[in-house]
Amino acid sequence: MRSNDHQIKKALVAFTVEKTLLDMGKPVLDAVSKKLLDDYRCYLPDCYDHPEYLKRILSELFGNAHVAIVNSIKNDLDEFSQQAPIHQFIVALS
Amino acid sequence: MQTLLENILTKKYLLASLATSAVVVLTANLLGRDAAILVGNLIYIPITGVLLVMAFLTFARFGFTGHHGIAWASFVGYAVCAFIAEMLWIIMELHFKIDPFPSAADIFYLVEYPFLLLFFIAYLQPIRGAVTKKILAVAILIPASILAACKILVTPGAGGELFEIFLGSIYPIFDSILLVPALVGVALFFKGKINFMWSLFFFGTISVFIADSAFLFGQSEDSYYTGNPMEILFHWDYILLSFGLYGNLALFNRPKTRQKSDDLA
Repeated sequence: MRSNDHQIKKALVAFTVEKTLLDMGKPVLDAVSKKLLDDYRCYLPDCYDHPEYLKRILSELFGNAHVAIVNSIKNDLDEFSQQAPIHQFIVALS
Repeated sequence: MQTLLENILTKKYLLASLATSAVVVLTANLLGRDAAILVGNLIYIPITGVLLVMAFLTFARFGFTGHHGIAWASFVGYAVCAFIAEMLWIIMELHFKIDPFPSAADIFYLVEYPFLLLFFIAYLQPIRGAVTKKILAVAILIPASILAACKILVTPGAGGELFEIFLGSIYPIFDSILLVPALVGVALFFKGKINFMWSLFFFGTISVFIADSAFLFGQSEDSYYTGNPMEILFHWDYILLSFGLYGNLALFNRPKTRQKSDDLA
């Protein structure tokens, strides 16, 4: 049951991140996904457990503007932020 | 992803391109005014042609996906207008032997600006939340100051028709408007890999602003001719934009399909 809940939250976060990056453009999502694979040997859903990976990659690609992208992800996850794991993800990403 | 070596090599070719256009124009000027006019016209064909090709390639990569897709579609509009404008200028000056300013080319030169402005706005749209009042204030203040300084320093002479002076004045004003989002982009993407493209776009906009101011002055003095050394700055604008596009394409290149065994290794 607990692992199901973990998987669901993982999928939710992955979907939100993907939606934010797709809002910019498919190649942006591709570039971030590729960098995750090249640098950390992981995929977008794995960012749920390692938000610091995503944060570093966004910062490397977009510089100061990564804050706006992170804020966009946070806004989309706002309604779930009362759940501790999601809240922890948001805090780690900020 | 661009390695450091690729980054340096890109800059080497960029510097070589900028230097080549300058050497070609200056050499043509040494050979005489007629040679300068001929070379000054023909050099726009490869320069704007490359920009057009790079714009289409970038748009092909992004398609209409997301805000960046809209941005690159707008940039294609800009590149098409720039190419048509330059070709019309060449045809009028070299084929019909008439003064290409003002002419139908100016319609396309002017239509370029909304396309380029839309590019900047669409690209920055997803991160508009990061645009603080301070960044916006500085981004408006700097171009406004430069424009004001140019207006004081570049006083039009008595020569030239009023309509030509008016039309020539519009270009630096529009260029200074474009400087605002270009500066905002440089500030926002600072320290990011994308900043390379935005820095080149910013310097390209500065370059064309100076060139347009010089054009206005030259027109009012009736001393301007295609191929004069100040036109190097127009070339540099197109070259800087082309390399910015190349840098962006390299950053967002299509991922190669990997073998499954590579992922499991």
